[in-house]
This record gives sequence, structure tokens and C-alpha cells, in this order.
Amino acid sequence: MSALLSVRDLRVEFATSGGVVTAVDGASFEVGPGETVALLGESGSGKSVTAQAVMGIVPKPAGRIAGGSISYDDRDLLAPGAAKGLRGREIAMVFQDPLSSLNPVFRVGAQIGEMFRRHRGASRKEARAAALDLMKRVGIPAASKRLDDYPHQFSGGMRQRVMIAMALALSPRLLIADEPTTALDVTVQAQIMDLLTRLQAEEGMSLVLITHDLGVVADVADRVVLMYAGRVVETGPIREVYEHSGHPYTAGLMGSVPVLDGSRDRLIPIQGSPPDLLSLPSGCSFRPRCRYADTLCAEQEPELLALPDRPIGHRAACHHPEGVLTDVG
Amino acid sequence: MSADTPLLSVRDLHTSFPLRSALLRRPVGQIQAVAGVSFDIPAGGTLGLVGESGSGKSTVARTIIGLEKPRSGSIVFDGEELTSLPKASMRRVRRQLQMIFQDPYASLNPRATVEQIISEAWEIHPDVVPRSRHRAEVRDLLERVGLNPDHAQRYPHQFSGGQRQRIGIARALALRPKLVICDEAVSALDVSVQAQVLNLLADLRRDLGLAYLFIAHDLSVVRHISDHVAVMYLGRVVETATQDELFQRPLHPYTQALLSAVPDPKPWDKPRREPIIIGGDVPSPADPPSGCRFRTRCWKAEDICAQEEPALQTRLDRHPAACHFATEPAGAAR
Repeated sequence: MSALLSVRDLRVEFATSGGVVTAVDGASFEVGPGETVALLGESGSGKSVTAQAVMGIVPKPAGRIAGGSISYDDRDLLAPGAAKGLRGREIAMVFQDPLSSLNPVFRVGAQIGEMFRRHRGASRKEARAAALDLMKRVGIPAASKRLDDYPHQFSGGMRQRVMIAMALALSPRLLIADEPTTALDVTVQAQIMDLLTRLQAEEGMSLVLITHDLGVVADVADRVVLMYAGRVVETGPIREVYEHSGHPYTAGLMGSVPVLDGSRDRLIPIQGSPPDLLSLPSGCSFRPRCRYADTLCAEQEPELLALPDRPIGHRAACHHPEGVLTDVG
Repeated sequence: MSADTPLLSVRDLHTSFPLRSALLRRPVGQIQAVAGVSFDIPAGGTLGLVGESGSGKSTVARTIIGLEKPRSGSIVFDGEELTSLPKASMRRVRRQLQMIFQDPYASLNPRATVEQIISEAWEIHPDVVPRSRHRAEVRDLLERVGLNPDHAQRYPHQFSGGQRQRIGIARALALRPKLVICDEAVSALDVSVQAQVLNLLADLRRDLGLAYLFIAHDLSVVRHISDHVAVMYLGRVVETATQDELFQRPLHPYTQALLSAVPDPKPWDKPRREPIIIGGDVPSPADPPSGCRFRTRCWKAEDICAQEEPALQTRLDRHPAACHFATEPAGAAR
């Protein structure tokens, strides 16, 4: 199966007052047709910047793509002009904060309809009918009455549904959702995750879910790509990665998160502070927080390699995965 | 004060905000942010207060600490009624009652050093720590919250988010309080750091005998740290029980839905539970539904729910729940 989206050795740099920050540092991963991939990481891991690079919306002039390749359906997305007609149509994105992504002075129905008018040459009337259809599909109650409402008249969950409707308007083959439920209450989060997975099944599209929440994606993602300090540190089928973590960071995250029906014993946190991208250590970025770290880790950056005796596709970037696997097992 | 008198006792608390017209700012109604809330916290105990946005949980905290004026109700802390306390006495009582906020950056003065931030309270309460002891005491506090005592002269921006929250905790501890209100104190932190701070809060409780009012929207976190839990919805407590009872056998439909919606990072190898996904959003507290406030989203709602507000009382010989049809969920023991 050839990948729909393929990111290779991606490198994104930002100029800051403190110097150049490498927000994404050689990240590689693939997304297959119809597949759901979770891009998981804490703040500063580079997960959102990776998505921005795919969408061509890395903030300029501070940010620039400094290396690597992104191909979609065997087309080079980074080549000048190549992405025209793909982004927004075949590749769509949903953001964390729907209020700042919607235009406050236009009616919601018109904003959704705009997609059809601009890209499909629909008439005003056709666009309105198509917008109404979409609003119904994403579960907005009394959709025909709400077509002429403004974004501020919608609740957070309903606004996110509007954003999803706009993203789906042109039947994309790849949907990237960047923390789509982070700003929402837990009961509304459940509604939106339910909607996204249902729509994905109906459309047969690929879904990239970017999140910091290990739990939100556990049930829905096929594979996980875990990032730390701009690098992919572990990847594989999600259950395999969660249950047989091969990277000490992944194992640490699993020990840090309280589980609703788990033990109430003391949590086992990851020691130390999140990485400062302006002064990353040599070798492995995680080593100051790692109990397996030795001189090799300081000298050599570990590559993302297949784990011994684990299923195909499970890879980790650690010099000592055997120790981690044994301790977790 | 007898041994079984609670440290904090809140009774029938109401706090509302005036709703003003856009043009002339005339009062046109009331937002009942807190509409009749009661609970107790014993010395050394931890009550988890959970709810979604608009539930009024933060307003409860702000009212207890005196940042909002209650419309009615009583707040008895350490034997004193706070709602009728003169300002000067309030200052004395407030020493025992401290708060940790969600955003550790916004709640720390960026132009003050850590030492200045922590010792500021001693300027107001000089009897707690004499000036000659300030420096040594700050070092002790920093050590206790897991920060390097040599960093006392640094500024907040020189610390990471988790470290800033530790500074906020050190500041809350400076006056040796009996009760600390944690308002979403770990919500903004990354999970690896959140676990560190949760462990710290547990250690401090054990070592200093602190009581916590722990307010959060994350149920897994609340379960982890609390002895008792109260669930709020639209200004009211809908269910309250020991941590164990509430999470094992919730009685109120809202609690059941809330628990069902919590994402599980380890969903495998467990009996598949049918998720309860409730539709709609929380109604406006300016115009709450008649009767039971949850009825507009409840799958059990009948006529009586619109007519009669269910009281928070013990049902089925179990813990208090405010529902006319409180029952254990199907397949309760999950």
C-alpha cells in the first residue's frame, strides 16, 4: 500500500529573539489511505508545526522549511505551485479554536457556502442548499434556522461542527485535525470525536489527529507518531506502542497519566522539565530526563529503528529500547 | 472546635451576577452562577469539585475566598462565618485559606523575584515569619516544593510552566494555611509535568496536614487526588459521594455521562462499555431550565423533571444524588 501522505526528514526552523529554533528536526512518517494516525506530543514537540508544514501555513517570515520533503499522492507538496488546488480541497484542516478560524462578520451558512461558490462555481442558491446539507450532516440541530446565524451565536461545540462542515465541503481525502477537542468540555469532546470517526468511515478519508491527550486517540487511531523536541521518538500501531513502549519518554507518559479505573497509587512522572528548544542537549534530546541515559546517548542521536522482537512498524529512537521494553513489559 | 466539626462548611450558597442591557447597562436579569451549593471539607481532607464550563465550580471557589459576594448562604471556615465577617477579621482568617490558580504565569508578578513573590504575604502578616527569617524561610519553601533554593533571586519568566506552578504553591504555603483551594491547578500543564505536581500536592497534604478543595474538569485527575467528590452542573451539586462510590457506582445520569465521556488511554482488554453520548450543550445560567437543570439533555427526563426540582438527597440507601430517577448504571461494576 503506498502512502497518501509521506513526510520525510522534515526540518522546520523559526527565527526567534534568542536564536534559531528547530521546531521540527528530521521528522518522518506516513499516512495511508483511510488510515487514522495520531500525532502525539506535549507542548513544543513540533506536532502542530508539522501539520502547518503539510498545509503550507508555517508562519512567515519567522518560520521556514529548512529541509526534507512532503509528498501527497506522489506529488511533491513543497515544489512551487504544486500544492495549489490540493490544500483546502483534497487536504483539509480543522483547528483547535474555531472562533478565531471563522469570520465573525459573515453568517455561518454563507461561510460554508463560500467553499462551493469559490471552488465549485456554485450559484448562491446552490451553495446555500449545500451548506444546509453539510450542517445537517455534522449534526447541527435546527440547521435551516441556524444558516443565518453568526459564529458568536454558536456554542464552542457547535462552532467546531461548523469548522468540520467547512473542512468536509470539498470531500477531502485527508483531514488534519489539530487539537480539535482541546478547548471543549468532556461531554462535547465525546460528541465531536464521535462525529469525526463517523464521518471518516463514511468518507473513507485519512485522518491525522494531532493531540497532547493520550486518551482521546487510544480508541480511534490505527497508528501513533509520538514526537519529542521536534523529533519522532516512537511510532507504531497504537495499542502496541501504548502497551509495549520502546522509548522511555512513551513509557514515562503512560506512567504519568491518571486513569479513571486505574490504581490511585502515586504517579510515576517523568523527571525534569520539558526541553528548551534553544538549548537542546547533544545526542538524544530526552537524555537529561532519562534514567537509561549513558555516554552513548550524549554522543550520538539515536535513529528511529525497528524494535527487536516486536511487530513490524513499531520503531523507536532510543539506544536502550531493550531496557525500556523489559521494564514496561 | 470538636474533632468532627468540618474545617470548611458551605451551606446553601448562592452567588449571582447581574445581567445588564447592552445599551444602558441596566440590570435586566441575574446569572445564577451558584444556586444552592452545600458541602463540607474535614481538616486534612480533599474534596474534588468537578463540572464543565458554566457549572459554577470556580465561582464557588471565588466566593469562599472572598473575591465574589454571595447573595445568600453560609460559609463557615474554622468555626467562623465568613459571609458576615468584618474586613479586618477576614484578613486574619484568609491566612489559613489560600488559593492556587490555573495559569501560573498570569498569577505571578513578572517584575518580582521568586523571593519577593513568596515573602510578600509576610509583609501583611509579619507575625508569621519575622523579616530576619524571610530569606531562610523562602529557601525552605522552595526546597519543599522541589525547586532549587539558589534560584530565589530569579524571575518567573526564567522558569518552565511546571516550575512556575511550584512557585505558586510555595506562595500559597507561605502563610501556613489549613485549606488550599486548587482551581484547575494542573490543567494547563503537560501530562509529564502534571504528574509531578499532583505528587507534590499529595506529599504536602501528608506532611503538612493540608486540606484541599480541588477544582478541575479532568475526572481522572480528580479521582486521583480526592477523598470525596461533588459533581456540579449549572450552579448546583447533582451528586456527591466518596471518591470510590462516585466513580464505581454513579447514580445521577449526568455523572454517568461525564464518566462515560472520559477518554481512556488504556481501552483494550476491558469489557466494551457502551458510551453514553449526551447531545446538546450546557444551557445558559441566565435562563436555566425549570425543574431539573439537566433535563434538557437527559435521556430519562419525564414530565415531573420539568415541574419539580429534584433535591440532593440520599437515594437507594446510597449517596446523595439530585435525580428523580437515580439508578445505578446498567452493568455498574465496571
